[in-house]
Amino acid sequence: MSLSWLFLKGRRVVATSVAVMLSAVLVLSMLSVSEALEKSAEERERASSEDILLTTAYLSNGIPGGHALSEEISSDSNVTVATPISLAIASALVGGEDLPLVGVGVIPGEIEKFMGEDGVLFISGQKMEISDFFEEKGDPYFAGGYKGRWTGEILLDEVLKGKYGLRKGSRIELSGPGGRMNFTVSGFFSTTLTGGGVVSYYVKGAFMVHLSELQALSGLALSPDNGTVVDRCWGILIKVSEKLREDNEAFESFASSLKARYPLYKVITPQERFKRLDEQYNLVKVFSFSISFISASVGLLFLLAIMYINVQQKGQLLRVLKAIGASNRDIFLEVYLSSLLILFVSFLSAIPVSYFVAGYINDYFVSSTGIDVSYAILNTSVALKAFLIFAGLGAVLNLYPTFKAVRIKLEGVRAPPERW
Amino acid sequence: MKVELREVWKEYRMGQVTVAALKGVSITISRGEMVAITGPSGSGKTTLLNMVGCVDKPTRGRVLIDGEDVTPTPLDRLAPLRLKKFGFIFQRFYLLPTLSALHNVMFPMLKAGVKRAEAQKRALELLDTVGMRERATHLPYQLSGGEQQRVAIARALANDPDIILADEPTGELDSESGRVVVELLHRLWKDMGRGVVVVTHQSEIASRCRRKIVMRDGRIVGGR
Repeated sequence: MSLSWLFLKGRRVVATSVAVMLSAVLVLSMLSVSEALEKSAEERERASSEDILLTTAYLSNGIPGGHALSEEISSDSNVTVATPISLAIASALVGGEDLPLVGVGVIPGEIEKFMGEDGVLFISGQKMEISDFFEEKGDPYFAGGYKGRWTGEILLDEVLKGKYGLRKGSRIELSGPGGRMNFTVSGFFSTTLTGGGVVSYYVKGAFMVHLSELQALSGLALSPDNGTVVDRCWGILIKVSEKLREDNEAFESFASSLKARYPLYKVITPQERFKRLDEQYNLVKVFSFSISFISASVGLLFLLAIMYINVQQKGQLLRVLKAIGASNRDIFLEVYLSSLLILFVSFLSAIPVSYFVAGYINDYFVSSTGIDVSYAILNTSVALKAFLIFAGLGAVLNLYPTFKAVRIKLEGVRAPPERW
Repeated sequence: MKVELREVWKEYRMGQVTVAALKGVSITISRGEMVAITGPSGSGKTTLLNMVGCVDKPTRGRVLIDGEDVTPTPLDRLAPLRLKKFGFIFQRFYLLPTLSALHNVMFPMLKAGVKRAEAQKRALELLDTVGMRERATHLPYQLSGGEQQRVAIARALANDPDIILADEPTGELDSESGRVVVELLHRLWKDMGRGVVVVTHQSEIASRCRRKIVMRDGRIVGGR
């Protein structure tokens, strides 16, 4: 009661608190989603059984003789398995729509060794959750220079199942630079492959087929000039032995030897993936921090404006406070603590609201970009970070109306000049 | 306690023009006096009261409190003096709208460092003195003008001041409420021995004061 809390009454204060609360909700939600993105990506990387990826540039399909190269790498005693994979864009005619899809070509029996028990597979950090799998584990069409048995097995993105009513056993025709080919749906998988980035703007889903069949579809099997086998693939996934994985020094030395052996290709280790991920998430962090900062600034500038108007309108009462003995320090505390209290209460009220809003933004983010974020995290660290942004900005901005109040001249307390 | 104004001038700049509100006023006011300051509008009554209460500083001249020259002291540094030596009553009451009548009276005491329990006890006694004990928990907007002014009088007495300064205390009140307020001020002087300085236009209030000062054009033209 040593403060009169002159500024904490009325509808204006309620409206100000609501405005500040809304900006705090946005700050908390953005920071939560950013935290969730970062944590999800880290967990994804941690869960990945992918050790080394030998590749060229993304989607360039630049490694010739993929089958042979992976066999060569597999023969190293440090390697458990090495398998070629291919990526390509193909079109599917589904429900009268021409759908651009991104395809992954794999040798099922080999890629299976990279999958966890829960059917989760990671390729270059992209997650694929496979519930059904291929009947044929080998790559029979590759035999005899792409003249072997055509399996026609295809696994489709869950997105296509939901949207276009495709099911196991459905027939689907795909067309690519290699021609038009028929497939039969063997099952479905969910993936982050088409989520986020440029890819999501062009493709409507993903599919997975046997490597040689994707190579045939995308014209990567044979040379277009003379029809000889080129067996081009996008990369070789390498899983190293447990012993090598546990020995960092030996692992690094093995990666270096691969780099020396294949100087034309990129050898991507988990450390490099983490580094790349860090760079990506630093960008997300800067973005979310900027949005948070702008949002907090707007809310707090509103508070500043309202406190400024309050100080102007309650100037006479402030003079009375001074006249009845309040010092400049008392006036400072009266105004400053009032604005900080509004800020603090608004921030606290924003926390439960943010919990739901963060979840909503998270769901929206997942559904619109396909990026796999399993949960939005509103934890103490996020709340503290948001509070520091708020308190820091609020503490600085509210000095302005506070000093305006402190500088109000006591002389006007009894009457305006015209009344002397 | 004694307040002395010696050759006090107060000038205001109004654009290009300098206007003198007080022109060399000298006056002494002591505890135990009841003084009325009268005069037409614009004669400098309120400015004179401001000087006595240390809420304004003279452009020239000196203000002495108990012989000590407070003229050079910044107004903010005089806050403790105003808190303990003077009680202020305003024409428009100016109770703090967020506080109850009781808390309005307690406010200056708490500022002066009085313990809360003691401040509450004394505030209730003061509200009793002005006949407002029953309305102690009411907020200002729940009180009539006369009642608010009585609470303001109780607030002015909170720190047991030597001099009460009242600026047209009945200016906003009906005649009955005004009469009650004047009666209270008279009691403060007569029964409690305070100094009371009242700025007023009303001759019936001035007639109840022992000493009258008449002002015109920034000068004292009658009484001393």
